[in-house]
Amino acid sequence: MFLINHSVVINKIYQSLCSTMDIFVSSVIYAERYSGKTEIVKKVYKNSFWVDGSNLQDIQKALKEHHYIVITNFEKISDLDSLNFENVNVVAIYNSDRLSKRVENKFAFIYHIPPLIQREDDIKVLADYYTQEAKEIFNVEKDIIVDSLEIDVSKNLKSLKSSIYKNILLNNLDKDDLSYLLYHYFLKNYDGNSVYKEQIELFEKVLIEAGLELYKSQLKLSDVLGINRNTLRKKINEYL
Amino acid sequence: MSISEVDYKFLLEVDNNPVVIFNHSGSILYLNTNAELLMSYASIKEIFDLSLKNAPKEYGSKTTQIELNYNHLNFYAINVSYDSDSWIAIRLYYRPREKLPINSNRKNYTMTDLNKMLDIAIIQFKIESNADIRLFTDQDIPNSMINQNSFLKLIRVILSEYKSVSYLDITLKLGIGEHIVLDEKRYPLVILEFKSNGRYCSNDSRIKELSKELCLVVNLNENNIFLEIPLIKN
Repeated sequence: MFLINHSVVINKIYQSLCSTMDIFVSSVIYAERYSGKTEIVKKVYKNSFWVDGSNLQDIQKALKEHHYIVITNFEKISDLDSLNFENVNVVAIYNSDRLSKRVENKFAFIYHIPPLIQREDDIKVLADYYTQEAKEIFNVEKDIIVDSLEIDVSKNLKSLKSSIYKNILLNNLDKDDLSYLLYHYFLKNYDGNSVYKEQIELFEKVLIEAGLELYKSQLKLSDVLGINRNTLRKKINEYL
Repeated sequence: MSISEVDYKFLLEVDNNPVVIFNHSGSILYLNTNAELLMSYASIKEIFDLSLKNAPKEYGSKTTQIELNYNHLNFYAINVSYDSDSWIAIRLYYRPREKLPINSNRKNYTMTDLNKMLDIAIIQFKIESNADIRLFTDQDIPNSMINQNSFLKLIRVILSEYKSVSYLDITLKLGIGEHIVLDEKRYPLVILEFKSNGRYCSNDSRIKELSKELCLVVNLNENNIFLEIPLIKN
């Protein structure tokens, strides 16, 4: 629902689908997974008969018995020519960013949702939306703007949401949270005869990395850490 | 009976091709029924100039093969004749229409509001096109039996030819005095015109194929596409 209200392209497709509800028409929406296509179809065709593309017989039966049909995973259909879309209102959900000419010719209307990486405006509104949602869930009160470089859109909405939640969560961990996480991590990884050496790296390495990022100088960092600079250099050679 | 009793004018009147006779100054002296239709799409001066340009050098008659398009009317040749300086006549020869398939089986046809179909197709087209669409329709066009799914498929493919244009004029109107013969029956027709300053042609063969399936006549010109849709009541 949020996408329909806030994304221009999604809203246009929604409006177009709504306009076709009382006629006989076949439509296909194609896009990568998690691009928002199912959300639109669910909103428009909520009371329709839904059938999966992997079961051809079920689809053929549905086309004979129902007027409003949604076919999910249409890319799995084995025999395209066996489907008769006459005198029904059918919408197909196709999980790919490309559509073959053969599939295209089967439908009256073709809708394409570009991958999220090509929808900068959508990324911004979605990032704001999920940031607010994550703040509420994790009870974070301070203002947070998630760095756009930290937003992962490789798997569209799914990775965007997950990267924002992860960002909000990790940036709001306190000392107790970190202790809790390390405690449970160590419980699962207490194995072998050099555990101390192996696990100490877990925080020693990042401690030095963060220090170098902050102070840029090994001399200054050795002062701040309170260790000898030769010791620091040795550890840098060992870890980085 | 003698030949003098034959009504020659009647033969001109029922000629399937437009015939126009002008006087020396370009005023119309006579036009047959088919020419009346032509003159609703072409100006008198345009046809008169065409006659003069293609007239024989001496008194007599001359036929010229020439591709002419006036709106959805297509001609492949003209004949210009005169035997005095006071009049000149032109006959334009219609390009023969492709024979429409026999399509008695209309089980997938539904009584349809064509204006509504057009509106729906335009909403869909506007998702990916920024063309300024000007729609000229006659809201009194009666509903017609048509296969909605195939018709919308055809309109979508036609519109895709205009996806990069800056403007697109779409006109839906009744073809006054025109008809289409389908399954040996005459039907009044509706003309759907798409007009811009350019278009792609990559889907022309698909447009012809879909039009034929729907028993519609299609005219594909450089910038324009015309569809002649039979108004089928039952």
